[in-house]
Amino acid sequence: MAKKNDSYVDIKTQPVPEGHHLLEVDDLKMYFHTEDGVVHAVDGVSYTLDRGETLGVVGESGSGKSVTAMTIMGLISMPPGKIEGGSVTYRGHDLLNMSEEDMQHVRGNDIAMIFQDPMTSLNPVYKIGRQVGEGLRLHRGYSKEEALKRATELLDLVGIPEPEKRVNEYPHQFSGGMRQRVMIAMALACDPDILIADEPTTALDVTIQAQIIELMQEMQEKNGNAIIMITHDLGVVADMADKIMVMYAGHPVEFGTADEIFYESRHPYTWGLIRSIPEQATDEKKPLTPIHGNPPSLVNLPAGCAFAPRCPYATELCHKERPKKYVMSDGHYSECHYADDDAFVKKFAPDTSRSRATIPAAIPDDVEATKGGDA
Amino acid sequence: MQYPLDLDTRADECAAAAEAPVNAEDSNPSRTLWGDAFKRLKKNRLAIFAIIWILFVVVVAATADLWVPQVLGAPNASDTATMVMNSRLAPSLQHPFGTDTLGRDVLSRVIYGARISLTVGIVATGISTIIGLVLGAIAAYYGGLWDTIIMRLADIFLAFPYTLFVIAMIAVIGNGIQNVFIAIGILGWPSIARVFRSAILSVKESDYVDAARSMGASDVRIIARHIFPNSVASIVVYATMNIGGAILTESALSFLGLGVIPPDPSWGTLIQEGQKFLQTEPWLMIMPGLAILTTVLAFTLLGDGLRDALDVKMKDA
Amino acid sequence: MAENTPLLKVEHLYKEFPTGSGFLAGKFSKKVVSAVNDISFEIHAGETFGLVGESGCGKSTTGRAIMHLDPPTSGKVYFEGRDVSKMSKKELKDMRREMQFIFQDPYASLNPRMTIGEIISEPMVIHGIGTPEERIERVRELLDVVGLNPEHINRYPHEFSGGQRQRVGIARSFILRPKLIICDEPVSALDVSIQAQVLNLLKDLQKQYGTAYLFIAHDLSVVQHISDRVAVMYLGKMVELSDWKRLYAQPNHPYTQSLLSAVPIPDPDVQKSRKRIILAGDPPSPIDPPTGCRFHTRCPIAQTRCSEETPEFREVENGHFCACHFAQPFPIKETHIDL
Repeated sequence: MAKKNDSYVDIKTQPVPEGHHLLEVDDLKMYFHTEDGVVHAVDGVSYTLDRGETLGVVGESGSGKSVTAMTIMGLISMPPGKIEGGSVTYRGHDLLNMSEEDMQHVRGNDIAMIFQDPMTSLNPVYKIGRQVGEGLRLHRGYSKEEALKRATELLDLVGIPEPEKRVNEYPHQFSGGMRQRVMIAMALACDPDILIADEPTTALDVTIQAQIIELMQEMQEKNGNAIIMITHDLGVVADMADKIMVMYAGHPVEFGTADEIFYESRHPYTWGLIRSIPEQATDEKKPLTPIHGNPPSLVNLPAGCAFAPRCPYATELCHKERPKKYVMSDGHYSECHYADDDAFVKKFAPDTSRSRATIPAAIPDDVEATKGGDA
Repeated sequence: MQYPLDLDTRADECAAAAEAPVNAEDSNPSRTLWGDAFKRLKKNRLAIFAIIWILFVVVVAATADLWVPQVLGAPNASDTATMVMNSRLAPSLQHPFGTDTLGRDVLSRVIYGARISLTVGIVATGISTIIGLVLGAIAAYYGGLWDTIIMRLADIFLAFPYTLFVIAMIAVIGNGIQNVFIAIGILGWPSIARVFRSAILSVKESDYVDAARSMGASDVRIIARHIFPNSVASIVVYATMNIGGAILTESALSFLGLGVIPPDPSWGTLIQEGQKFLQTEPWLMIMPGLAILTTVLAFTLLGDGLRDALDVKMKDA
Repeated sequence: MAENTPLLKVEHLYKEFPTGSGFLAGKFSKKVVSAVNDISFEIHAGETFGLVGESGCGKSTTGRAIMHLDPPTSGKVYFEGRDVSKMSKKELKDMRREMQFIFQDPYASLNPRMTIGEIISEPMVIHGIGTPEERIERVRELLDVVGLNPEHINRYPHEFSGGQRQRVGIARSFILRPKLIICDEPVSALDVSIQAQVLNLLKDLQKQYGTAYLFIAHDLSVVQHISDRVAVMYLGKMVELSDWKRLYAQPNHPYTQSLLSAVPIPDPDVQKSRKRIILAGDPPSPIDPPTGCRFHTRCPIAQTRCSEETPEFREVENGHFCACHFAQPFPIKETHIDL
């Protein structure tokens, strides 16, 4: 284990250059060269992120949402992966061309990641305390005792009862929800600038999912870090994301603030996702409107818009020509030929609680959040 | 690591996915899993080398009677008249592997040795596999007491040093080629039974077996249609590798004088005869040694290739 | 069979598993996992009955016990009025013609070494129905119904995507036109857009064939969407049962209430305007379930009585059952919160 290099300066302590954002991803392209051909896993992803912000990345499996994050972290093995273009700039530093040694300082210290599966992300042969403290020893040069002490504090912080006892236990003695808490404690150990969470709640039950999301938000308020939340579930990002990027077949098809995505969306794929989710209605059941067909092969992408074969409104133009980004004044963009056609959007966009001017009272709202009684 | 693989699969799946009408006219729409496996195997160059080598050895050994005695001389022909003159000649065009003390052509003896070694490998493995399959299947399917008895017995067998066990058995039943078959075959079952048992157990727990049960399928149908086809792949792989192991054991036995009875040649006896002349005429030992090395290696490589090719999970992951 | 005999009747169903494994474990280990504990309900012909709960609550075990994949420890299952546990092997096989199963994992539930034609027609083969030609005809027809290309009858499962495989599984379960299909989390392994496709397909098929569903899932919105009546399970017990409207509009049990409030809603305004009950801690282990009400360790309104006395599963309103001492319609009153 390499000790912290004293000459190394944490990037997160350096100022963000004037006129720039904390993290800027510009036209990032990551292709995989496989036997079956070139897989266009990430094909022109751009976004910006500032401290304290939460970016939701939404898409179906295979849409390239995880690969984007892994590319930023430098975790894609190359080959078969190859960066075909674009840049990732973090506080003015180019992450794509950074040496592996420097990248190791960035990972965990400046940008930390939580994975989907809390069962396999922890090493079963080490005690929890050691795993949580490992980053601190690596990046901060903590001694064993200091690291263990801090690990205990961190476990307490993420709401694990009896942290003094539990630092000395092994992962198998923790439930799924508790392990995900441990993962969050590990990710937050070095007080990172950016926390990337890759489907952190997908493997968990709804009640535990709610706990974990609340915890992540609490931690963000405390530390002021940015969060990139990768998920397939629009519901999960509805109340936590400031900005949302919707991905389809390696492309960001729409990007905007949460309000813009949910209430003023200008892309038929986003509409399809919203319509696919069963509504919690108590009066009558509305039929679901699924998106027909299957996602395209990332090897042979359609010539025109990648979504055209499944899009109910596709025209000849859509099948022939790849749409350009249609950018609205405030940074909200949509990759659709008809994004600027107000009549089109008005006609086909799904009803929302805003357009109906009603907030469905699925759940009455005069209940305090409660903690369990200790009976 | 995991992500690219995932994507690869995904892309592959999508490519094969049936939605687009173009795919319906796929060049080979009804490829089977075994066909797919063969395709993957063909891409594995080492495995192809192994197959070619094994086929070559098999063909040469099988057709030996037709041409070897005429071209190289009979393997056991020892003519006192020419013996001295021909004794331990260096490799030449006429005797590519040289000759041995009794003036017999070494290549001829290696080829006839291949017959014995291959037969031992295949027959002994066949015996182990049959016993292993039956006992493994009983242990896995019926479980409980059967499982405990069979698997503890297997543990006991595996706890003895294998070669010593075989030697002891040969000592009891006497040497000779049939007894080598029997000894190696009978003592080889425990590992096959274990592999088959665990393969069955994992298949038995799978949803499609539950699905068949929920449809009302009989035990026989479940075993024949669902469990066997999905667990047999591991046995094919294991048995292939086992052939190499059996050839090695036979060589060891013959080397110790417990296997094939001279003058019949086997690779083990050839090495044993040749070792005395390692300093002066090394080819007497090196040539049969190479035969063992390449053949055993070929079976191992083929087994490796088969494992990769037959792994359906590589597609599903 | 009388006119009003339910299609399926489950009475006081219990399912226990010994902890540990091996043939001795069951004989010497006293500890058992009480996976399903005293479950009773009925399903009528053509109805969809939803069974919701978190992982480990026993909902899947219930489905498997009904199907006799893992026979129940005690309790009765009546199919069309006949006791399943008293059926002979032959009768059980006949029952399985009428009761089919759809599995959660579309990858694991199809035999990778059979073509989809063989997979879908397998129930016909097992029950000796039709000639080979008729079977092929039937499979092609059904492939078309579930939205797959009938030309793909000779393809293997690995050539299909997850959603398409689930369609194959659905086609298989429908080929004998059963009266009841137990759907064990049929959409939870699928992407949202594909989920909606499969849910719509299940609804269409139900309309067409009049099949009843036992729909098991952890996702409340999905269950609500498809079900006529919904039951909520917690730690092996049924805690609430009602028709879908009332369960979602007036959930009486604090667990149902917290589950409903935890479901993320894809609408920021709604999401921000509602207050959520976030339960503390994890569900306890079913090896050593809490005394009294099994939910009391996490319940926001638990009182001392809850840890001592098991609440009765009582009818709070016509057709609306709830197992809570303090059951009452949402919202929980602040006064009930034991501080």
